[in-house]
Amino acid sequence: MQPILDGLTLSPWEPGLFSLAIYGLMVLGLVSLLLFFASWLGEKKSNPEKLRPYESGIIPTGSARLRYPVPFFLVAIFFLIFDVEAAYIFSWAISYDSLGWAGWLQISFFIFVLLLGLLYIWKKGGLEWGPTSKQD
Amino acid sequence: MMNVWTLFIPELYCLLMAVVFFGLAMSARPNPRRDYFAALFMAGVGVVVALACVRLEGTLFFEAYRVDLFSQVFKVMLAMGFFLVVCLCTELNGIEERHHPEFYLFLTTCTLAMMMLVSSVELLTIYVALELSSYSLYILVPLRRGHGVDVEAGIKYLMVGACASAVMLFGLSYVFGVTHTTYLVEIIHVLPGVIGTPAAIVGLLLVLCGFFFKLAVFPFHFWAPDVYQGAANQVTAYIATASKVAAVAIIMRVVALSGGSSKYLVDMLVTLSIASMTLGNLVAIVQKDMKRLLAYSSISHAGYVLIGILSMSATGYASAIFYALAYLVMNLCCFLVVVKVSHDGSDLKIAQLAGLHRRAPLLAMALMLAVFGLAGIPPTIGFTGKFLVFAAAMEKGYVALVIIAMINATISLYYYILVVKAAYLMEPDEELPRLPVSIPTKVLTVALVTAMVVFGVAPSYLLEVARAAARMLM
Repeated sequence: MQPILDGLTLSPWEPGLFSLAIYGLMVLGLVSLLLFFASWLGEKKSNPEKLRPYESGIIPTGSARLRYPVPFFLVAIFFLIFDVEAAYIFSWAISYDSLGWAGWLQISFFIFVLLLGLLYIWKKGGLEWGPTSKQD
Repeated sequence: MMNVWTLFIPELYCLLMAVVFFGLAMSARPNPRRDYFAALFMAGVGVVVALACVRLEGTLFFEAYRVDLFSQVFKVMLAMGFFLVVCLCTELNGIEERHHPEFYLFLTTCTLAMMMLVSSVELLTIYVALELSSYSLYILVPLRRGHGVDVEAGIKYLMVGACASAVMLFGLSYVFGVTHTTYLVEIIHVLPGVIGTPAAIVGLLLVLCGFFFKLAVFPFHFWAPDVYQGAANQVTAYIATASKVAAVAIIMRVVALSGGSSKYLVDMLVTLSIASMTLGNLVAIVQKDMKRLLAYSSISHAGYVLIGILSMSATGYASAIFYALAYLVMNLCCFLVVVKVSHDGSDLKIAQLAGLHRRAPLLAMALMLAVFGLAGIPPTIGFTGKFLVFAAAMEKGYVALVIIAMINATISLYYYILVVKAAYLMEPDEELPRLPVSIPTKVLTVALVTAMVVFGVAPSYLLEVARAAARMLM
């Protein structure tokens, strides 16, 4: 791939900045015009029905501030960690033939580190959940 | 094959340390003494290993990783910073005992990442190393035993860090688009030719933003005060010293890419440097908390370091390297006092320093010298550092910048002297007992003070090393 050396291929400062400024002004003008019309012409009568949060047409029940049990969060995090790594392992597996033993060693190291992580969360009680296991 | 791995020894050693701490973290029963002595011993050996590898040269990993004097000098500084921070961990009260091995583990991975950062000469390698070091710190900050302040600090750090990362990735894509390569060796040939175009300069600036976050330069400084205050004292000491040194190194590498011919870049760096210095110094004046004060002082020092870097000459880079080292020593000395005075691991108010000269004369003296060093008063290493940085800028004719920096140094003197006044002239409300200072702490304090004064008076050896390292950049 040949690096670009003449300065002409890349856009220069002036015309770009000028049109950007014009464009920016137009956007600002349009947005403020719309906001102004919306507040000037719009009806301002509020009632409880209007202020209620929209939940797909169902009348909301209870508070939105629920406390989910924290193990769900942990499991989600563990899933993220081990799931994203699969992307690397798949891409290695596809080009297995061309990568050879060096690639095998590297992915083994990678999987080894993952296993260490699994060992860690296991040992620290991250996998134990349920009503019986009270850690602290 | 053997030769390749010798080049990588300091990093491999860090990896070994990380494995050992991982093993310690798996043990069932917490044992802080064992963890501390293991960390102290291995960090000490780490300094020796880094020193032994100073003269190595070569490239690794498909040329993405260069080992030269520049990187090795910074690796020695990082290993020293790590060792000295571990020295401060005798009473690690800020962190729960069962988390001590993890604390050392993440300090080690962070040091490893920064060592990789100063050696990386390829954009993606730089990014990966930077993220590894950031992630370690994201975990270290909220590890503190506390009442939610730590979590707040941790979240702020993560949010600002994630934004800085995103901005930096955007910039990396620009730089790649303009130069069609991710290798710094090739970029340095192509980029100076197109540095006048908006895409190149915007890309370079956005890349720099990621590193400015690490260094807490003006628009990315918001995290510094909260994180400094919210993190455990030892973690703050590490963030304030080692991570700043690594940031200086990588900013120099990236700025050197421009070839020194871009007026826009220089103007931008001058603006950021002045804004950083002025904001840091002015806001520091009203601080009551010692760690917040040091945070704002670090923002202003980021401005001073930038002066050396933006000179974009061999002298400028050498002076910035010297300044980074000086800053490492002075700041560690300040944090030594902070850690020892607030031995229960709480935040230290400046007023709590009252009567320190009778409670612990040696610590008070060390604090005074370190603070005078930060203010730039001779004969400390801080004066020499500032002198070199200003001299490099004068050489390039940035007279106005130097004058503004000097005015700033005078402003900073005010709040630094407030600290000295608290330690020497103010008396505590009730009589406090003498602070117990152990023999190793005394040795460490004397060593730091000696280093500050000796290298302040006779900097020629260090300066030679810094010059030789800076030549690797040009």
